[in-house]
Amino acid sequence: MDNELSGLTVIFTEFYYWVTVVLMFLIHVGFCLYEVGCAREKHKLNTLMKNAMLIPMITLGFFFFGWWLYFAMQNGPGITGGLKEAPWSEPLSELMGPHMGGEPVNERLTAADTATWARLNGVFWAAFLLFSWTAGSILSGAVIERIRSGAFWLLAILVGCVTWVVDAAWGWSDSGWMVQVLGYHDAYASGVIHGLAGGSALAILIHLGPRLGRFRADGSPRVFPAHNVWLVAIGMFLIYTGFWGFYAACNVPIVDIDPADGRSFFSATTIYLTPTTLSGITVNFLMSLAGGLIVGYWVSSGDPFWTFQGGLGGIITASAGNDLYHPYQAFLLAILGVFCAYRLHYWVERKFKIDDAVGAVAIHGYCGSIGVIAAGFLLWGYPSSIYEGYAPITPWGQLAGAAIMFVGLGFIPCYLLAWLLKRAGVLRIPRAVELAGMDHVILADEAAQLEELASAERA
Amino acid sequence: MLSTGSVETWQGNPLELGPLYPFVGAEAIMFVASLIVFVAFLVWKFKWEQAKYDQQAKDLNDQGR
Repeated sequence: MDNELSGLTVIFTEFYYWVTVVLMFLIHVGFCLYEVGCAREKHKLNTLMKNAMLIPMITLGFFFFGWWLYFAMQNGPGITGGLKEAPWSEPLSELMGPHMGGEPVNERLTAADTATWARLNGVFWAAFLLFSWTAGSILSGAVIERIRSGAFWLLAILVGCVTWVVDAAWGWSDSGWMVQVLGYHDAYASGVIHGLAGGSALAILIHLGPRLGRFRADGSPRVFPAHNVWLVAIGMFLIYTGFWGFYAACNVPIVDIDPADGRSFFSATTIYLTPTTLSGITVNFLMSLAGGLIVGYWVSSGDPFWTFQGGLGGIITASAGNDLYHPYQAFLLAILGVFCAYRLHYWVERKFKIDDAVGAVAIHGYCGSIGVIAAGFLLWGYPSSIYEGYAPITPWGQLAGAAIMFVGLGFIPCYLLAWLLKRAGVLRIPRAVELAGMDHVILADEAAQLEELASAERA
Repeated sequence: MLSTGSVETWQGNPLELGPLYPFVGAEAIMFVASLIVFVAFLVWKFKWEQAKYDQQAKDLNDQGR
């Protein structure tokens, strides 16, 4: 910050991430609208509050320990090294508050720490936090109309503040062990957010069970029509809008990628510090959205729910390699991913009686995992990192990575916690309340208030 | 003069400014207080939700719904 160029670079980076955070807020707005639109009238207020209150729960958990986990866990620990020191990310750190970057008060911090992190720690933290909200919110839609909010928040804290953060440390950082050993590549988080959250949702759904009346005696599913298709549509458009911010937040906006021999070349990079361009990823984002919308519309014969979900699934499928794909590759991969996820969704639903109310496991879990694996074939042999000695991108590295995300850090931890909550009798609402609706008391009070008002007006 | 922070003037060298918030050094106390609120809210939520659903289920069953 002692000359104009370094000052502009730091303040531009700070402002860049701030903008991404504001844009990503729309993802949460979109998820809330979408879920409420999909829920039936008798459950809609509870559905809204369940997801809205995820915000403070995950925010506090991420402040207390999530941000530290991201840095500390990059070596496993125990795979490529021990716990990493990251004093700037600890909940007691002075760098978690407003700081001008001068000499640290805390002796565990260095002058280099404060100079580097004073203006970036907060916006990086916030960008990661918004990813955490998204991870939690993905679960929220799948479990509507029968989960207790307290149980859901605990599960969301597990995913938003622990499991997704650990998988990001492992596979979505420039020195994570999965990048080093497996050559794992997942530029825009197909696996680290969506694959993991989809696996988590599937595990919870197994213990939670289907909504009352979901399956006929012959095992075929009944349809629960969305109570407000406009909320669903606007919600999805807002999720798409927020996804722009998500893509931008996955990049580092300005890095000297060629500092050798006094040369300099400034570029945007991925989280792995490998070069990419905002221009390139913007085209790929739109082409994968187009592919997903087309196939979603096609396979569902124009059903709005699956068409919009298809658009989202298309982006998610291509995201792992959208830093490097040609737009045609992004488009065609989106088609493949959404087609497979759609088929898998109905197969799993009928075979295992899994009631995923919004198709979250399919669109996030299956599309994300397919995208991670596909990147292994399409980007086979590419270097995974700017650093020497890291494994290159391979199909087997990506396959292992997809399994770690979906099963290892997604399915298993949530399966265990949901099992505990079920055993404690605090996972699902009582049957009578489910039948009457989670809002039945509020709705009855509201009706009484309206009746009283009408009487007063007539008097 | 009483002062809660370490900033004495905005006229000096900015490179000498560190944390800007008041009560630097009391982070552990603030952390514990915030953590207590976080845990207490979750505990309250579980208890309140249990009582609410027990009562609602009882009322609905009494009504034959």
